[in-house]
Amino acid sequence: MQRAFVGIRIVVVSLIASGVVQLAKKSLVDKMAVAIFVGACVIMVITNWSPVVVIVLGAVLGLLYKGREVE
Amino acid sequence: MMIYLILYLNFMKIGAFSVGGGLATVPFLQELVDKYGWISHAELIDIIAVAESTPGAIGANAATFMGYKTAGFWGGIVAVLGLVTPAVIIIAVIAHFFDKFIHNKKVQNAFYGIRPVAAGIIAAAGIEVAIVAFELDFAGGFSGGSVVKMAIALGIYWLIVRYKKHPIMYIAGGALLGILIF
Repeated sequence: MQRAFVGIRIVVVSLIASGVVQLAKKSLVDKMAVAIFVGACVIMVITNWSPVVVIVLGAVLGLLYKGREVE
Repeated sequence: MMIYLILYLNFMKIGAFSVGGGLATVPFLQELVDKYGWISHAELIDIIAVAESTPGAIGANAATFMGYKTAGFWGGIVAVLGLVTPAVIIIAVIAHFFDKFIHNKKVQNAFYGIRPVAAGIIAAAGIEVAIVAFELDFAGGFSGGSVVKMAIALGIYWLIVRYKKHPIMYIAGGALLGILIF
């Protein structure tokens, strides 16, 4: 049973990777979006910030960056 | 009693902030594991696998399993209730003016930033899952076993993209592979 889960855990990595690629295709619409993607990923790997904080930061960045185009 | 409240509030937070589909709950579940240590990181990955294999939303399934492992039957119920509470409230409120909400410029601007963040934090969660799954040991360099596991993951990724079957097919295949070669 333990050995089965060793194999299953490997598959979970592949499933998450394919999920990320699908999300990335829809959300990485320009260079700024790619920068936000990379930034969020790096912050989550190297710090222990809550994902909530990073999501809210993303919303604020989106409002500031996109908001400036209209005005 | 306290544990039920902690479960409810934590899963309510997950329900309110996990944007981007089922896998979006994974980074939040990792945060819970880091914070409370109810289960190990390896167990969390197993829960994700089971949640992907069973019918229903991954987030709700994972909440059930994690709540159950932490505080038994009622733990599972409370965790799922917490998870869906924000969605019920948000949908009930937004349903009234959905068109206005979705076409609101500020909402669209916020989501322009939220979507790549959602992808980014799931990618980071994937990296943490990979470290456990590949048994990577950065101090000791790459072991042969880790390289084999990474190669298998690459092969399975290719199969997922190529054949787009239900996750349970790949998970069953991974279980079989694990029994045969590890």
